[in-house]
Amino acid sequence: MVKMNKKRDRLEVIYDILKTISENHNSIKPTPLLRYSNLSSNSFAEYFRDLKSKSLIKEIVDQKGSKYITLTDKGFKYLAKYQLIKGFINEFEL
Amino acid sequence: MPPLIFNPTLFIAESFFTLITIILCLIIFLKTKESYDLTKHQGIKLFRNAFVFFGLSYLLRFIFMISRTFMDNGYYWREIMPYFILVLGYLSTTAIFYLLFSIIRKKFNQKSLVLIGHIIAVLISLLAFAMMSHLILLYIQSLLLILVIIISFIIHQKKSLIKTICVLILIFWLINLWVIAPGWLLPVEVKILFQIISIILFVWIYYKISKWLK
Repeated sequence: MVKMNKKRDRLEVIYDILKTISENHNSIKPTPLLRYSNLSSNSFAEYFRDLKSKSLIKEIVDQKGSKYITLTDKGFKYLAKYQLIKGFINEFEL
Repeated sequence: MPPLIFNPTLFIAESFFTLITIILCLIIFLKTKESYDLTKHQGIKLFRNAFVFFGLSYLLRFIFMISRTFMDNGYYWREIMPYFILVLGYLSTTAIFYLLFSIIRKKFNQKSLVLIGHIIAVLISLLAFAMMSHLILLYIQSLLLILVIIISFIIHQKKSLIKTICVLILIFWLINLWVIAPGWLLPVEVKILFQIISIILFVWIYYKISKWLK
């Protein structure tokens, strides 16, 4: 499971959330994701809305009516490119 | 007044220089697109916007030079030049503001700053248009450059890549603007040298970006 540090910037929080979903075979319920994300409920809800609006994650409902969160292609791309983008932002101090 | 004496060497050098600079600005904008699309990071947005506006400014500067070379000078300065100044003033001042905002983004509310930047850019270009003088634009942008240098040194007291990039781009933009000012008769070799250094600067920025964003 992704280790969550306390002082994380927004990009790191997003990376941690997406990585958690990816490491759970790309399917996780909202409650355990909230727990692993190490965020308050309000912060998590805000990030959740943001990730959905950016099409990095999507919600699916199974036949029993349970909600699961999965990564989109864009979400996988974010995970793959994260280190490079972070390196770029850090080097240019953007 | 007759048109300026056509110098084929300078014309070819200018065309080559402008084309390379615009292509590099465009490549930098496109290279950072995916990163911005994925993260919506405001620092990346400001940075890439600066290169769009600089690319457009260099394009307009080139058209400015060509038309000055081939048109009757009296008609040109009276009828055409003020409109060039209006658009060039807006584009290049906005580019300068975007670079400045890239530096100060973390310290200030960026959304209101961008709006203020656009308003100031419009006012500066309108002032230069009303006075029909691109020297006014040069003086104001030179002052802006000094302001950017002071602010960047206050905010980034240590060595910083974005600070270095901003200062170098602004210095070379102003040199390139001074070069086309009336009465600024530099030898062709010196003009070409400035352009080569400008291209080296943009290639260096591109190299720094492409290291990360392949």
